[in-house]
Amino acid sequence: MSFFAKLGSDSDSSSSSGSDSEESILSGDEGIAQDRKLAEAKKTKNKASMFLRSDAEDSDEESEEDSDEDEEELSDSEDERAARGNKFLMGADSTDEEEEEEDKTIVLSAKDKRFAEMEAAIHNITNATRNNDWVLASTELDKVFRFIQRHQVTVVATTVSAAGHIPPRFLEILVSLEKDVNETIASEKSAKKKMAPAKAKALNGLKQTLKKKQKEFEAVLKTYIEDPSAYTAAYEAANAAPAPKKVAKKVQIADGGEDQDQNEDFMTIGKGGKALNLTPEGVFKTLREIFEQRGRKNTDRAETIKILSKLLEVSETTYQKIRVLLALVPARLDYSQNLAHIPHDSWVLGLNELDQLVTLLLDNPDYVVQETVGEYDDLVEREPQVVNGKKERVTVAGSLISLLESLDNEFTKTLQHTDAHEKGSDYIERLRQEAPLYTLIAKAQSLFEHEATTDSTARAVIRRLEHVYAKPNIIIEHFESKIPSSLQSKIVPTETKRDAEGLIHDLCVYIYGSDAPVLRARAILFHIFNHASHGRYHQARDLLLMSHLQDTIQHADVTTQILYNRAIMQLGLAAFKLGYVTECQTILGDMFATQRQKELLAQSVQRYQQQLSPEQELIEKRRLLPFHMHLNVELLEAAYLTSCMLIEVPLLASVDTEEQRRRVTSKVFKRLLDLADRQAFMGPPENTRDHIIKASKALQAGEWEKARDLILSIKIWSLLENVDQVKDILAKKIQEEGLRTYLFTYSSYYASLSLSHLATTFSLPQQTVTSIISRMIYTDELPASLDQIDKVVIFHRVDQSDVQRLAQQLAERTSSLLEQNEKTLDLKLGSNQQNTNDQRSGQTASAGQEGGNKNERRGNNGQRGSYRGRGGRGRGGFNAGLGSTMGRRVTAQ
Amino acid sequence: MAEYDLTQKLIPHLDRHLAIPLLNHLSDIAIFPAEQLAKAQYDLVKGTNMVDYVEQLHEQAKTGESRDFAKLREEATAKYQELQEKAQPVMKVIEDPDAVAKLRSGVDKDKNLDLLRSEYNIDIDQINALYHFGQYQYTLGAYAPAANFLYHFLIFSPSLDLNISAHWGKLSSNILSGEWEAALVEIKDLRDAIDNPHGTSMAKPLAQLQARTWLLHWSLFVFFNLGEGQGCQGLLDMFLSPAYLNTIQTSCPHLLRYLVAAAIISRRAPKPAGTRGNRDHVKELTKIVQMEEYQYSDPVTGFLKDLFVDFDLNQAQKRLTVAESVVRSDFFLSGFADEFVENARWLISEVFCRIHRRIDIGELSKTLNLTNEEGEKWIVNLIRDSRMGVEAKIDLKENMLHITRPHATPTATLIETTRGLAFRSQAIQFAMQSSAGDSRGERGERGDRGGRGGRGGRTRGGAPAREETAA
Repeated sequence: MSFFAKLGSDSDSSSSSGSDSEESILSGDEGIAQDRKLAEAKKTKNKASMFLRSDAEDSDEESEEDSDEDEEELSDSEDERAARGNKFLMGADSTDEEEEEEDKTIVLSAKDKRFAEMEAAIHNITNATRNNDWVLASTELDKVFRFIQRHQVTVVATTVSAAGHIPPRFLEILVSLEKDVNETIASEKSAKKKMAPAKAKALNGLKQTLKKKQKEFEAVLKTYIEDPSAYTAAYEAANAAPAPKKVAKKVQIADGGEDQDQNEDFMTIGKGGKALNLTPEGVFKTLREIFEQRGRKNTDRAETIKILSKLLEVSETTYQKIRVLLALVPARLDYSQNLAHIPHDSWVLGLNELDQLVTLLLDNPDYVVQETVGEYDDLVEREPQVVNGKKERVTVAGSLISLLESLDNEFTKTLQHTDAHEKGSDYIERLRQEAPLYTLIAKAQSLFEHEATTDSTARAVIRRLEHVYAKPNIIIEHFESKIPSSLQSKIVPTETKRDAEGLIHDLCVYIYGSDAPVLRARAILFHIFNHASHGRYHQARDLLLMSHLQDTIQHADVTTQILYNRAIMQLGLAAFKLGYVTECQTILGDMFATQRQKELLAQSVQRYQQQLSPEQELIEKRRLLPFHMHLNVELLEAAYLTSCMLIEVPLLASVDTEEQRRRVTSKVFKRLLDLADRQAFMGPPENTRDHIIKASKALQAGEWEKARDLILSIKIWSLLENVDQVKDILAKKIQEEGLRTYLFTYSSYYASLSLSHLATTFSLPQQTVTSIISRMIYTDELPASLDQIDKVVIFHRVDQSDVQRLAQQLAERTSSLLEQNEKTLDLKLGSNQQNTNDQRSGQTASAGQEGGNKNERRGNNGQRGSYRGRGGRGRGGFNAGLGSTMGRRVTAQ
Repeated sequence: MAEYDLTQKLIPHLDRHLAIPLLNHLSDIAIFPAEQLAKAQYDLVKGTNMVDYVEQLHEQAKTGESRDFAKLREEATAKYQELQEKAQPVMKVIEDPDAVAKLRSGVDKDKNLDLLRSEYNIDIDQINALYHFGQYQYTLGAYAPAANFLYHFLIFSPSLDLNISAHWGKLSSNILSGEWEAALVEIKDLRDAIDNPHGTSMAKPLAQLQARTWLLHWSLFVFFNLGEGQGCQGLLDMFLSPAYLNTIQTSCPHLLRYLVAAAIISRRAPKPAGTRGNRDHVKELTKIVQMEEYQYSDPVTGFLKDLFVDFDLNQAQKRLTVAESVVRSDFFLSGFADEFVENARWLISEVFCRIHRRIDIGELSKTLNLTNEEGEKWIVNLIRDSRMGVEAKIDLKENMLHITRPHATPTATLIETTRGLAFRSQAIQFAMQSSAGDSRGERGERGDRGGRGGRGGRTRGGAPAREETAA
């Protein structure tokens, strides 16, 4: 059992966080005997760590941060496992206080867990009632009742007095819920619009259960309603009773605390009835107490936050402030374990506090927060000291960058969980906080630069980029204007003026210079996205091609892949805006062929096809982008389908057998077109797709004006910045492609057509008509020639008989078969010869190359060598010729 | 024409000495103000040790900056002598025919070094002195001796980085002393060194890119001095190879002008054996020109685009007039201006004839920028040259050209598709047989296969040619 071996040797306390997970697996899976052993191991460990207090605390903090970071990546099931592990840990932890009470403490912590559940349920109920979501409210209420039942059973078994049986929160929710329900029913009667049936049913059910339960708890409820505060006090007192021993110990640990305790003004009674020190002198002690409680299930997070913010008020020196802030911000971020995200106001406070911390550090360059520091006594006030004429800086343990990142992640989470459609004003209000957040990131970046911590700087710069890359310039400039001009930064010096493009360029260039490949890839994608969204198609394309990301992207992590998809989409749109229709179609084609654009862009969770397991769905949901980052898929689709129309319609017109039609590239467009063909009657176009399909039909029939009007009347174009320009380009393209389609479709019915007639029909200048036709003739698309003197185009179409066509098809198949054979053989021979003949290097399977190799190996055997060389060339020529025959084949029939 | 002049774009990628002829050329064609040029020339030469030349330019530029040229000259001579002394021992060895013979017989550099050390008492430092002396001679403007010294240095030196530097130096010296064949060899060596950087400083992508950019620029001197056949073909081969094409697209799109010009010029030149058809070049280039249009275009590339993308013959003709003057004033292309125009006309008329059935001779002459009579003559020549692949007759009465292009009948297409199928299958069969023999290790049969495959190749090689005539 290697596990035990590991446990036994694992006496180093600093690695405790690493072994935790292993232990948890073990305790989750195996029997009690192992649990006990584990507890013993823990005991010895904790004993050892008693002497190394500061060390242990350090590691505590580190592991805390580690788990903070991990949390995002952990899937739900892992979370659960960790929680289970914690439970056991907790039991083990408490053994060093009350060894005999081992079992009981476990019960206690389980109770606390249930309390937390109840709190969460009650929270949900209040939220649900506010949103009129009665279905949710009633399920949550059921949970609360179940809890209360269980609670009563356990509580009766303990020594807690009767006053402590029913928690006041429960009664409170009963009362408020009843009020809400009655109100809603009353308002419902007067309201005109009826409630959804499911909701109404839930509401009625809720009313019934409430009535029943009120009867059950009648007596307690009465005392509560009479005086809620008195009841609460009584409850607290009754519940505090079982833990006096613990408190006594705590007080002893905090030795010397008595003196300050005399000072009544600053004394507060904590939840467990324990004395707290809220004086400048007692800051460190209180901090230590809080640190000791951290991570245990029975700590009240809200309480901790309250204490810490009070501590912040009383702390005087810079050092104290830094210490308190370093504890307060993570405490705020921790608050959310059972919630989807931390409350918004709490987040804003956290933001302000982190900002305070960063500003403090910027203003006091003698203090520095580092992840690894030397040992120091955390109960002593420290100040920068002058040693050997040099000022020694005060280092404090902590990780600013991870605080910053988790704050930023929380921001994303709040946005994810706010519905931008139904609660638009909420969303905007939250979004408004982005500017201060951005300022904070910029400040932090400047701080990291100053400290020369490259890793943190790069991470901060990436965060900064994430906030600006998808924004219009005007917003970026607004963000930038918020940054205090006194900020020092080498990456983006404040002295030189720069526009938004320059800012992104500078930031990206910094990342290019750093050595983290993942960040580099992301920075490139940000840059591409930004170039593309501002219409700099060529730069974006060149950057993409130079980065070779398209070869490696499938090995990247999911978020980077999403970013890649976004950048590609934006690139396609940029191509479209400039009128590069072919490029647009190729770029967007891949994405639209999957039919899952929204999922691939992380703008919605997979809906069709296979059912997702809840865990998977949760992971996917976590990846979703907040609404303001979404790309407009409809606009993308409009661009894609329009490009398809411009390319495919002439192509479809140029081929005439069903088999060739099948080869047409864009399946999506083809399917839509076929669908429209099958319809007996086509109504007026309603959505973008309808417009485009109808326009395609019109184009096929040669009615280019109708097609143009339909395309130009699509409303969504107005979202493009350069609408008029795009529309002009589109109109021109439709004219040209209309002409081409017309020629393909109707050329067989004419012997010749006059150029001037074509020019007037398509209202194009005659010169343009001539050059379009010239191109078609030159590329063998159209069997025709121009007569310069009569200004007409003469067609030489030769119709094939059925037999001829079939024979031609057969011949083509045969030749492709032969082609395949040759390729296979070359491959086979190539590998064979490599085995037998090692001196040849760089063997490739291609025939031409092989010829060349042979030539070399055979030395200067002039004639044969040259034949061989020619052979290679000939085949290359054939391959190239195949392309042209395909092209010709398209038209020849 | 000043707007189309590339000198300013070229110079950053050239050596100081290589830029001198460019500036001299500019002062010859006088499209820039003379005093500015004189100043630029002086600034350029100032950094070299060619004291006499500097002095002369100094007078021309009249910058007012005073310099003691006598002292400079003295310093230069002193340095020269010092370096010469250092290089002396090695020189002696090289001049000794016995030693040369001995060294030649040795293949290995290490062995040669050992030999030198043991018999002539020459160590690495002295060999490196050869390099420094060569370099100094180069800065003095004595290019031929510099090339000579560097050549000897390259034979002995084992240091990779110094060798590359010496290669550059030798290439430059060869260019400046006009030894084009030697320079061509040097380009090949450098290309090898750049493409296969074995742990040298060149291994970084950025360094590689820069080295390639330099090589592309320097090679312009060589290729355009080798004449239209070999030179242009070599240029096309090198510039169109994927790595160098990428370099052009990334760091120096202005070189597209030379690429396009070379493609047009060498269009009718006799093809060296083993190269691909020329039309490919033009087609390929059209695509590239179109792709890079956003960052570089000039009349020369614009001509190609007018002709093969827009098929706007009038525009192409207008563009050709401008392009001609650009080509005439370009340092590298000025010698090829006539060929360029001639071949460009060919391109135009080819396109013209492919598209049209009846052509007004007057119109065509206008398009080709010729008078009516010249045009007629031109057309007669065109018809006589079978390359046009069409049946064309001049109808003088109506002053028009009548072209009949045979259009492929279904039967003909069918024959075209099936041509060679049987033969190729046979070739496969032989190949399979011989590969079976191969695994038994009989070399003779493999030779057999090569021969047969070769024959097959020839027939296949012939097919496209026939197509061409038929088209």
